[in-house]
Amino acid sequence: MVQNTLIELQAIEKVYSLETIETRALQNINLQIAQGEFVSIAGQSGCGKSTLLAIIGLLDVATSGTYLLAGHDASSIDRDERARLRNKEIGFVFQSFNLISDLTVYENIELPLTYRTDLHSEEIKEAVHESLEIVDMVSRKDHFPSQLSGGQQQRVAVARAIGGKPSMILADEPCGNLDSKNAESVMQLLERLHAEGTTICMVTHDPKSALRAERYVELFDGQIVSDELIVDQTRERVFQAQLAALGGHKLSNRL
Amino acid sequence: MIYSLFNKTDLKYTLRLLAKKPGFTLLSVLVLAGGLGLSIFTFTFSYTMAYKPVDLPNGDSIVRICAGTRNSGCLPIKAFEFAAIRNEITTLDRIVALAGGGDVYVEFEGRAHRVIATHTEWTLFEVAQIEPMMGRALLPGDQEPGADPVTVIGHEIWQSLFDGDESILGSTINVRGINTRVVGIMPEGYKFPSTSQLWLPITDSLLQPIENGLTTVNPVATIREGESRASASSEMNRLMSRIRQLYPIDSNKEYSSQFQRYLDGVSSGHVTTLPQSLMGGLEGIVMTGVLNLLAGIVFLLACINVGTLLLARVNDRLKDISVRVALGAPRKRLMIQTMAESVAIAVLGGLLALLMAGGGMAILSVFISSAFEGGGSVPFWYSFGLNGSTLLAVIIFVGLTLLLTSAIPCWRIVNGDFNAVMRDGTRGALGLRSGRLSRSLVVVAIALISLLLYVGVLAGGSAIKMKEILSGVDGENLLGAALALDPERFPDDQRLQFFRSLNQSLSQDTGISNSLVYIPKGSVSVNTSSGQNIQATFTAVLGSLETFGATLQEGRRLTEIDSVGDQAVAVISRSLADRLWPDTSAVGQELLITSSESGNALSKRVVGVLDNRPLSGLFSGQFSLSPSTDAVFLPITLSDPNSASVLVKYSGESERAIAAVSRVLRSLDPQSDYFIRNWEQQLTGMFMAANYGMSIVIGCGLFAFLVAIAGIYGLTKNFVDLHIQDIGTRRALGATDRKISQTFVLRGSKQLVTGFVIATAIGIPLVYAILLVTGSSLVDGTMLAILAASIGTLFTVVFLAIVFPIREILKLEPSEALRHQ
Repeated sequence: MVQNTLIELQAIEKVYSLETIETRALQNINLQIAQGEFVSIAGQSGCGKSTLLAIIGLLDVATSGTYLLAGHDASSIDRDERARLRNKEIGFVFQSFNLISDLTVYENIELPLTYRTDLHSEEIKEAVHESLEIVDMVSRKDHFPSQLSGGQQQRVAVARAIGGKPSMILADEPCGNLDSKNAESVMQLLERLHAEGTTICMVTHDPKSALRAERYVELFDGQIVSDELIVDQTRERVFQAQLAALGGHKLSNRL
Repeated sequence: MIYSLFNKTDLKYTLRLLAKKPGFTLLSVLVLAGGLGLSIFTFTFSYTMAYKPVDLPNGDSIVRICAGTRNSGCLPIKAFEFAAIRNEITTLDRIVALAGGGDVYVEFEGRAHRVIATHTEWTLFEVAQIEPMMGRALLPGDQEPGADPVTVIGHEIWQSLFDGDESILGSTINVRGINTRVVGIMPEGYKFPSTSQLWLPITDSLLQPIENGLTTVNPVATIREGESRASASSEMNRLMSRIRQLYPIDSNKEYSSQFQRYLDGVSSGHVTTLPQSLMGGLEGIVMTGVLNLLAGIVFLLACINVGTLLLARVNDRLKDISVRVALGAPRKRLMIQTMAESVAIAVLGGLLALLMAGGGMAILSVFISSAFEGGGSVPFWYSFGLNGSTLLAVIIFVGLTLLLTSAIPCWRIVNGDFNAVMRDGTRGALGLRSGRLSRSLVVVAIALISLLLYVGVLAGGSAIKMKEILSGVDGENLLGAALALDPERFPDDQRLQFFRSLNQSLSQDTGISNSLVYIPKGSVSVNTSSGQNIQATFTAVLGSLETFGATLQEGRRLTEIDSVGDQAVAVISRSLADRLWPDTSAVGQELLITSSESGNALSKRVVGVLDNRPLSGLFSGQFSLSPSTDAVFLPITLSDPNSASVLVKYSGESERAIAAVSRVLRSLDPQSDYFIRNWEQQLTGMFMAANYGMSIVIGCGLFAFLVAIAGIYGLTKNFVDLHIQDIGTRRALGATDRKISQTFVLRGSKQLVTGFVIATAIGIPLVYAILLVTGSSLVDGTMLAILAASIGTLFTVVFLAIVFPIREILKLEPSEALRHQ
């Protein structure tokens, strides 16, 4: 077992049933993530990355298998406790930002903190301002999400995720809707948070983003096909694979 | 051009959309049909009552000549005043003096039958331009002094009294004790000027009245070519003002408040249509306005409901519409496509509404006919049913519906950022605007339904109250008549003698047990020893108070001796006695009263106490929805005015008693016409009408409430549905189920309170104004309880409309909610 294991998945399966059709989204997933790690989960579209992240983030439950969160069996905890854990221990960053359109930037960041009972209003205010400063959005705190660019919205989403100082941040394609400049800005934010000791688990299909993590997990058809620390060889392998895929695509276009 | 904007494929697409969600289509059509049906029904009802042109060859130009202003309603004109001005009127021609709408009794085969008669000049039939179906109309010679008594009868009584026997023409029937020859029979449905079933030549007392006499006429005329109702009204007003200067009102008399109002009103005049003349002035205008306001609110609610359902459909189809935009569909075409769905729903809803309104009208006609004894006393233009005007109303309503229900979805199309929808599925600004619109609609719907509650509860409460009051009036074996004695023939002492003789003569008839002559005199302020001021009804009486069912509990009755020389005695009701002297007997106590009309303070000794049965104001045409049980009865004295009423309690057959009262009145005053009213029959009709009114108001109100509640449920649910992704996000951020429910309930409460405050700000002054105009103090415990219950239901529905959908959404895993489009 990895030292200070935060997340441990044992033989996780997830099956979606739609009328008579069963789709096996995840099969026999075994994964351990230690505290302070920066893990990227990569793979082709539909391979189960987001499903895996939803299970890790307690947004969904596995059909079978065991999920230990900080050593506690997460599958046996009730809805309210799951909500409390999501609020206190997990920060989410979504591809489509998922900011609440009726709330201002400030209110969006403040929102998860208002669900906590251990924070006073002054503490909440302080935490929101701190987060706004980190993502450099203080000047936009009274704007509504619709008044912001995609990059700005994602920075707000990051601020919201880190406001409560969670143990881990789960990011689902955080740069998927952003241009390269904004994507870089978000990636730098995540790296900075990781450097400060936050565990980060990021789902992405972008190899460039994936390789900025320290560990690379690759999924194919709902199964982990690769799990390795990112070293130069990893970068080389992923680059070659990407090149081959790109070449194949070009070839198929020509045909 | 149209083809390119809406083609066969679009039509198929529209039909497919409707068929794809049959539940939605059915709900939309039903909600719209309900609101539309109710609006059409109410519109047709008020149109028929007040605005429909009368069905006569020159119906558009026929008017009633009235004393008073439009707000006071169409008051009768004193016959001598009318005689003085009729030759000066230039804006009207074919002016006909008539006194109508009263009951006379026709004795036939030993039985008396109540018939509504009109005393008229022969020219009435020329104005109507309708020929008798048999015989002839009245002729100039019929109204000459000394002419043989003749009558023209209506089709209804020809059938009901004479079994359609043609030999009745030329034969003699007994009308109010006078043998009268039937000279003509009018065709079916003819009741001109309103509800008449029999026409008699006008009497000399009406045509050449005594100066300052109290007899009145209700003239009709046609507007002269080139003139208008407005110019005729202006002329009438000028003439009536002038006549008032010539004959000022005697301010020394203590008139009843009703009579005083009449006198105040007759310094002005106007002309109006026949339907408007029966609408009762400002009160009628207000009641019609309230009815139409209710229908309008229901219609708006239905449109908002359907509009919101369509908006929800557009929300569902955002992706689809985005693809069309991407493929280059012009927005006009998208708008037309969206409108196509509205057109289909509006047309289907309109047709169903038409059927519903038609069914309602058929039921209304049947009910009115039975409530008014086979339609005898229903004005001839009261034919409720679907006609050209109704169809026009449907087209207008459907057009309005299209405008309102398409406006909202089209707004969505025009303002939607489909590029954003295509790009990432986020609702962004669309979501914010849509959320605001959805919230605004909920607030508007809540404001409308709350307003509906205020006005609906007031209207329903009035109907319930009226029914309660009517059921409390003892009209069993009770006859009544209005007495307006000519001051020339009946000066002060003669008048009192007339009333006394009337009671005496009536008491000699074995079939008559009690009689009471009374003059309602408004209200008095009664001052208590503790400085309290109590308002009590004030009536001058001569005869037996037991006639209207009151019983003596203490002391003695008022007698004829009390009327001589102003004995300064009074009989009061138990409630007043208990309030004034709670610990001791009221008999023998001194009562200090101040008349609200004359302002005179009078000291009276209480000689008797009656139980709390009030003398219904109904018997003197002063029906009140808030009658007081605090009452003071004083003896009629020499200073009382000429106008009084008599009530007669009889035993045995009503027809016999009616004939007896007619005979007594005719023997005491052969020159006047007295209409006898059978209160038992009258009250039964009124009770049925009130019952029906109550059923219709409560039924329509309940229906409207249900439509509105369903709409609010839909709006609120739609609002929650729009926030499924938000709920997912909140859960991802750690919100518990309870916290999410609380958040949305709080939001809903804000909308509820905002809507309610808006409605209250409009509703309370509106209700106050209605109560002020109608002069009733309706707001009692029951009304408040009904209002509280309705508001409670509204609050509960909004609460449930939030909690139930949220419970459903919370059943989803957060990840599913986040993925929701």
